[in-house]
Amino acid sequence: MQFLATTKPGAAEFTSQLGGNAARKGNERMFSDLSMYSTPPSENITLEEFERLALARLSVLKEMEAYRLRHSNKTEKEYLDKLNQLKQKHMKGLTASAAAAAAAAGASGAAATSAAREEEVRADNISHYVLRLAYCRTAELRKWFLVQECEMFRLKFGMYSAQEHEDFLSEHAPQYKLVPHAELLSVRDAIVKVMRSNLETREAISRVENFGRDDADAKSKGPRSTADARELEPKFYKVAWTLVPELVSQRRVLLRGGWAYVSREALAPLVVAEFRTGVSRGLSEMARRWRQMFPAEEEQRLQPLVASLTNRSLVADYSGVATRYGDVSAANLPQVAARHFPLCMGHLVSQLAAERHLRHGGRQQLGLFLKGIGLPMEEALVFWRSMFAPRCTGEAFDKQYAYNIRHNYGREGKRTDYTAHKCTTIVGSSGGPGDHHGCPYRRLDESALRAALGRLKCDDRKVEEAVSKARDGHYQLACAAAFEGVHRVPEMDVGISAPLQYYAESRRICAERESAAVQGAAAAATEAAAAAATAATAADAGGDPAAAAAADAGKEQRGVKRAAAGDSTPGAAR
Amino acid sequence: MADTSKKQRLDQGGTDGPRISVQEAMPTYYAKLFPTQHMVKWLSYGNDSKHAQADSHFFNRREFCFTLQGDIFVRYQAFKDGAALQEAILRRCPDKIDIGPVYSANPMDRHKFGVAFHPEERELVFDIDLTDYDDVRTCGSGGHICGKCWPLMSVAVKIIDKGLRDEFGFKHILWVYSGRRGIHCWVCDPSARQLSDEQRSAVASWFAMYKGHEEGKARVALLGGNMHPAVERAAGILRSAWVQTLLPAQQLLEDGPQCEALLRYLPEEGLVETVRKKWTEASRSRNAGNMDVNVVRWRALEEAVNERVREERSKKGVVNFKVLGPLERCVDEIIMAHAYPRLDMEVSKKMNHLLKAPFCVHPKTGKVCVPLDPNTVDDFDPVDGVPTVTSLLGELAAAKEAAEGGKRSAPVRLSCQLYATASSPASPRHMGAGSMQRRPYLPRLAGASTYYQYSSPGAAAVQPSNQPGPS
Ligand code: SF4
Ligand SMILES: [Zn+2]
Repeated sequence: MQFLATTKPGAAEFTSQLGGNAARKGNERMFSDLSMYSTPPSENITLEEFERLALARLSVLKEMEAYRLRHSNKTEKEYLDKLNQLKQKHMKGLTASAAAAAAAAGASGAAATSAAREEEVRADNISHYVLRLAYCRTAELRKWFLVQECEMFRLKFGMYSAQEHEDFLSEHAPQYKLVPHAELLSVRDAIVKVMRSNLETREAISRVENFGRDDADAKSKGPRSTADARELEPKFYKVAWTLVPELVSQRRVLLRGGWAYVSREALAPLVVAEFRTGVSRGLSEMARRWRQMFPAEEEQRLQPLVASLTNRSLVADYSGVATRYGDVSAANLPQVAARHFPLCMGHLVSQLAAERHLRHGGRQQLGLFLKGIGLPMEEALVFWRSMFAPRCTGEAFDKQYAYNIRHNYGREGKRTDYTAHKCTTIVGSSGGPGDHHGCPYRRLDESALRAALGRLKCDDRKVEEAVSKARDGHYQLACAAAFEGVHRVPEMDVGISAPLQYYAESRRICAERESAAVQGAAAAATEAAAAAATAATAADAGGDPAAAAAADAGKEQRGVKRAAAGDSTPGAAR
Repeated sequence: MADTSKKQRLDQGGTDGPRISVQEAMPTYYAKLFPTQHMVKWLSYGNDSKHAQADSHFFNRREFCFTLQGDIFVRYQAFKDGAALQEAILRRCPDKIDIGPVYSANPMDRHKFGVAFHPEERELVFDIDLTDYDDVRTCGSGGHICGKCWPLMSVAVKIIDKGLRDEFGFKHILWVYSGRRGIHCWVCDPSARQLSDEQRSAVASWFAMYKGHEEGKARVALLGGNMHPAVERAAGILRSAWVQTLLPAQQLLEDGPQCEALLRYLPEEGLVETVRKKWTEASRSRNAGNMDVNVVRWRALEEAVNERVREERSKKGVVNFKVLGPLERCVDEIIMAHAYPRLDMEVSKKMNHLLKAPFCVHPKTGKVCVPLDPNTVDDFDPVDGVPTVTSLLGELAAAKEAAEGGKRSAPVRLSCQLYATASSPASPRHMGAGSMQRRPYLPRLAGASTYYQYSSPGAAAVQPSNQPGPS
């Protein structure tokens, strides 16, 4: 398709991204992972690639967000490592031509690297713009996307070296001009005064103070120390003062003829702010022109696809659960519930057992879930009838409740095949005091929540984590923490997004542990340990064989995810 | 303009002319002297019919506010052209005319546009008022102004004018005497007119050192002992003005509460004692008689402080910056606290703040708000050097009489001179502000003395050739 995105009103044509790259080839350094995104892509890509790239970026953004929420006290370096790792996991080798390019360049290593980089730039740009398109439609979506993208930009840009900053700015933001050596010498003393008046650190001041004074020394010490000295050299950028009103109002810069001399360190927040403004403006612009964003002949297919990106769950479709672990019956349901149900469902089951009744909201929430895990309709009728007894006679049950159960299975009325609720639905549902549906992480008070998790034998540390996440309103992250605590597994990359996901993960882990136990613990441990080394969450996995196995399995799971995402067609997405 | 001719003119205006009130004089003033056409030309910035790319509605979107007799404000007035403005002024004869921003639409139609109606551009303006110096001036307070407190204004003009030019790169700056006890500044560069409110606040803060009062002292923002180059530049201007004009004029060190208040800026009790002792000695010495006592005392104070600084520095061991810092700062602090420009920040911060137009007449004093030349601002005399509406009308009448008697004489005229210039200012602008390119014509506010011209019948009847008079 032709990507018609435009950020500049009135501009009819855009340089093709590929053309742009070709022109830039002269620069030895290309920035594969960072851009101001000022030029939308304009090339034909397949619908499949379009969707694949968007989902990959979305996974990076979402998992990064979840990681930050769970670890609020890591260093910038650790966040950056995580980000790079997530990019590696989701974005590498994704583009259709990446493989071809690599193959073509098989002979020459350098050419291959450059081709791969070009592919990365392309994937990065396309995926950013597809998500822009998807996330421009409401204020809330725009806000989320803007926050995530800015965070990613800030993280990467903030960790750049002086040389990287210089290269990036000259390519993407030429309005920030590096002050040339001679000019910096001429304003050095004035800058030192500005720094002194702002009580900057002695090291920072002396770096500027000594700038240009020991050139002779450095040369006599040979090329090595010259190179080191260059990296330490203070860098200043000349910026129109109107771009830095905050620094001006606090007299934090030197002003000459309308130019502000801004140090490299002080510049980073400005560039991030500019990035934010650019993306924000682009999003609003797209929202206004939403209808014109799609070529007429593609509108039918593309619009629903793009629209679906925002509410698509990034985890696999768990409809396969029913067939894979389809051994659920009315008889074994209590055991299955105790081992594998998330709190929202477990809570309903125990309330039902105690009160011999559930109100409509609870029946729907639990009933559809049971159907989702593969409880056949006949078994469901048996289960509910037995649970409602003796308060409700079999006859009364058949009259009052059976119809609804059959209806849920699509055997009555409109014969719609209803699917189980996702977390967002459950978390958002409210009920009166006699209702037990909804998400317990939201509805239970802290002591009740602790007690409920205790009954599940959840690890104490994780109980606390879950309680504190719930307190902050991150219910699905709380649920993920509980999952980890109950199953003693390392951290999951995303929160729980559906009770079925929780169930499926739980079944899978237990099944694997059982088969591992059968095969012999020793053999499994060696194998799993090796796998753990490559697993994303190796750090937490430690020497625990089960955990390592889980991490390994997590990788498999992601494979499923990606395939599922690739398969889905716009029509199927909901 | 020679001083003698000024005097002569004023004398004539003051004694010979018929004694009429300011209000009575205004219709004639507006009809014969107020330079409406110059004002329109200035405020159109080249957006008139002569230029191909002109925005013909530009002037029409500018807000004027009339204050009518009895303090009735009529806001959101807009005029198609100079003729319309002139007609309205003559018809309503306002006490005061304020100039507002250029809006996105004609301000008269603002209700049609709702939230879409917003200010689009506006000169960057400053307002400095002597009432804000009441705690540090000794010659008077409130609406008072005299030759003794004018140095406070003239030093403010010099500091801010230089800063606007050297630091911010602005070039088109108009200073105006506000008609009573202060001064106004209009920065007219295209980039200045486009500034956002945030950027305006930033400029105002850049120039703001005075941070209110604390324990009977004016607080100035001197962080540590080191001055920002911009502050240092201002301090340089202030230091020389301090001894030359401010100190003798304000008599800050003569015995009295003002002097006691000033001594409170010294960081050590012992130092105050030393200073007092030096002052007593100085008053006994003979040659003190030739010099102004304030200057003599100031020198003694500086000497005492310097001695303490030297003493502290020569102490063995590490220098105690807690003691040395305040000692080194205190002299500059005194000067800054008493003389650093005190801006009315609110006026500068907002694009849609109104400011009185140049050449308005103060309704009580009758003084005309004439432009000031920053290069000769020291010589400006806010008491006798400002034309009043009655003095000008007297001149006008005298000129007419002379003409009737067959004598040739120069006309009395006020003019706000504008020049077209091909070069647009070279100051950097925000990248996005490309729209300014549309207006290649930029009137340049001409240098100083050409801002207003008046000639009395007795003065040589020569008009500078390069200055076309008002038509
Ligand atoms: S987060 Fe989802 S799965 Fe977990 S308890 Fe809440 S609704 Fe259930
Ligand atoms: Zn005075």
